[in-house]
Amino acid sequence: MDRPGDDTQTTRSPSSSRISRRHFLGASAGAATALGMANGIEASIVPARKAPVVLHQEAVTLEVWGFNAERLNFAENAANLPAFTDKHPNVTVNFREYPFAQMHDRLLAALASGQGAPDMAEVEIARFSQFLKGDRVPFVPLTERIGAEIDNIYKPAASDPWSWDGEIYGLGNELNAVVLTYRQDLLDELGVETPFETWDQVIAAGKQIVANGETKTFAVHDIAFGDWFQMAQVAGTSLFDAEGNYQGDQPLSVEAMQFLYDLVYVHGVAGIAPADAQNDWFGPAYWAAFKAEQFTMLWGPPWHIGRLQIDVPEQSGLWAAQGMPSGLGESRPTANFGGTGQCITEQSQYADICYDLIAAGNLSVEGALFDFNQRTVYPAYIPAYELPELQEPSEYFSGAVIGELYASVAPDLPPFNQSPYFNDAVQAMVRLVITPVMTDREEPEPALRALGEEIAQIAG
Amino acid sequence: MAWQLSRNGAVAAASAPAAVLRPARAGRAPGRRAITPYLFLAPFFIVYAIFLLYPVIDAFRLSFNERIGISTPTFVGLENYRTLFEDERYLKALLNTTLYAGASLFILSPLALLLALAVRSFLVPSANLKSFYRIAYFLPNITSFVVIALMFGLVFDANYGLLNAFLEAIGQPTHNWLRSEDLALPSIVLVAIWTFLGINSLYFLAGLQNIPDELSEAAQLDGATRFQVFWTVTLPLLKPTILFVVVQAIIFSYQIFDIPFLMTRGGPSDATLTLAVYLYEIGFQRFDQGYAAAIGYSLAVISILLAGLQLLLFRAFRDD
Repeated sequence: MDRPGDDTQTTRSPSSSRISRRHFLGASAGAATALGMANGIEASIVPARKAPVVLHQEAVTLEVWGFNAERLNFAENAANLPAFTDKHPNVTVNFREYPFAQMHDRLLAALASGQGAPDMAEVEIARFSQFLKGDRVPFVPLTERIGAEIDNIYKPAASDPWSWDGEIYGLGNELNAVVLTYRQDLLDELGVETPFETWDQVIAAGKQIVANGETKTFAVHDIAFGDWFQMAQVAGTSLFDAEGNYQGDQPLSVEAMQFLYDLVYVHGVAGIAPADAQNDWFGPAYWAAFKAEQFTMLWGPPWHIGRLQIDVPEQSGLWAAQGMPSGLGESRPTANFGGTGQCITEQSQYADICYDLIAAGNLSVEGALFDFNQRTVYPAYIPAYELPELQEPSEYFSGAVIGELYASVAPDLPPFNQSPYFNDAVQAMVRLVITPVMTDREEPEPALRALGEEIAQIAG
Repeated sequence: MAWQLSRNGAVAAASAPAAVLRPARAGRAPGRRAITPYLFLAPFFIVYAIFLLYPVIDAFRLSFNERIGISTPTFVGLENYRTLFEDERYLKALLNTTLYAGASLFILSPLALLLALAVRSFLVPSANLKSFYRIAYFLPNITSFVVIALMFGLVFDANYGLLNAFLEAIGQPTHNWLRSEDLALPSIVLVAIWTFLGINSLYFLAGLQNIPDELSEAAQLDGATRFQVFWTVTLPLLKPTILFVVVQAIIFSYQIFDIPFLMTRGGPSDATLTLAVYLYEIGFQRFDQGYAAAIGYSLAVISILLAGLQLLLFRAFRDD
């Protein structure tokens, strides 16, 4: 019962028909090496992918990555707005939420490897700088697509953080203007006159508050750079200049750092913010301290002070808000802090559809209203300030019209100067400046100078 | 022809006892017979090659290149490895990791042995109690590092932490455990001891169970004290286990990432920066892939060298 081929098998020499263990392992290693080499060659020759033209009427599925459920709610709402669905009735959007670091790391890896990236991603401002290193920016340019709408947004908050070399690569919806808030009831009890004109008045009021017991005014962070970043802008400077050069060691920067140090250690009116490695800005312990009235003042953008209403609801009606007082450096009335933007990756085949999704959320009053109702985000989209909802007095902030306050300071928002080394600088700043000064009580000036040296070294 | 081969094999089997086993494997062509086990093995090796061997080889290639951000790699020879010796943060991470590994070696491992001895001794007479301890020891090992970090975050919290509350209760000064450059690394070591003490004790327990009781009893009959029995009988016979525990403790210590990353992110001011955390920072924060690959390979070389040194010290090769 011969079978075809059996003759051949029997006549084949053992060496040709049998696989030794060594050959098998060798072949596996060889295949892996070849894969490695092939990848090296591929990485060298694959150009940036260009989005082909797609007929919008065909069924399309978009992949969107994010790291925050509420922000993804905002994007999902945009996908359901008529401004988007009327144009793209057959588009389905998959939203995937990852932890903050994991999402950005995955995105970096996918874009560097040339495959696996989503169509769109939510990119935080500091992490955006990581994508600027290298030969190209792996996101689709949006400047032309935005067109005349650029005049309808507060650029420092909506587009500057995701811009590089004169091109916009992402849009954010949050007006990250910094204002000052405080416990009006406590100040009234002490007979302190508000609003504050100068920081000296704030410090004087703080001393009265501290004299009454354990309560402090501000919670200054010692493992996050944000307080310095905000105060440096109020003082009239920033981490990088418009050309992307480090300027953190200039006198105004030093003054801002010294101001924070003095609040805690010289005037004794501020304390160190309860924080840990996982919640380096605000976490449960941070808000618990406000609940316990350990801290009674706060500066920050809407995404920060808005959390008071969510995490410390029992103090509704006890807080008030105003623009930043004068007396620090150039005394700007606000600063620009934080934000997340939506970017279209170069691997997306549906850049036009993605842009329509971005516009539906970020460049529409409906999108702005959704995020305002969801988490009290004041929008970077200027026409939204005509919405009656944004002009209503805030019950939490003692009846103040917060929308009016933001609209009044928004034109003074300092520009956000991005740099490929922004994230590196932020990480190094915590290590070399913030913790040494705020925890170990070192001098601000040498620390900021050391940071400059480190950034120069990183930049090569 | 295959059938003929089979039949020939059967004939051969009848005449020569030495060939009895052959007919059972006959009936298939030699080539087919030879390749079958490899087909069964292939899925593992394919997965291994794609997900382990390929990244390892590619990372080695990458370590000789400069690739920062999304760019084309540029060959730089040994430059990334040369930079390691001038990089103060790398050297600091190496020092921290070595201190951590030293703690694993000189604090954790002896403690684990003591714990194992205690469970084997008269201190825990009941078999049920011994089983309970074995399970209890294993629990930290299956607890997520995130949970461990959260839990110890509450223990070490400067304002509301358990440890400071205890110190306050006994009239001792409190500390900011995770923010102090002097105390952060010892705090991380303490967490690691809690996490890995149990599993290392189990290794020692397994080793102790393999030592026949007769040897200890004979030594005791000869008048040896408990300590003498331990020192001259138990410890020498436990050498293979000690070798295993020490080698794996050193190797895993040099790879420590989760606990310092989750609890301090390498801070304050690099006080708890380990090689793996630094590798992550360079690879994913700074996105300097070539240098990150060089750090990874330096880590591998250090681990291999230390493991080899330990094997030599224990004269394991000669004993085997």
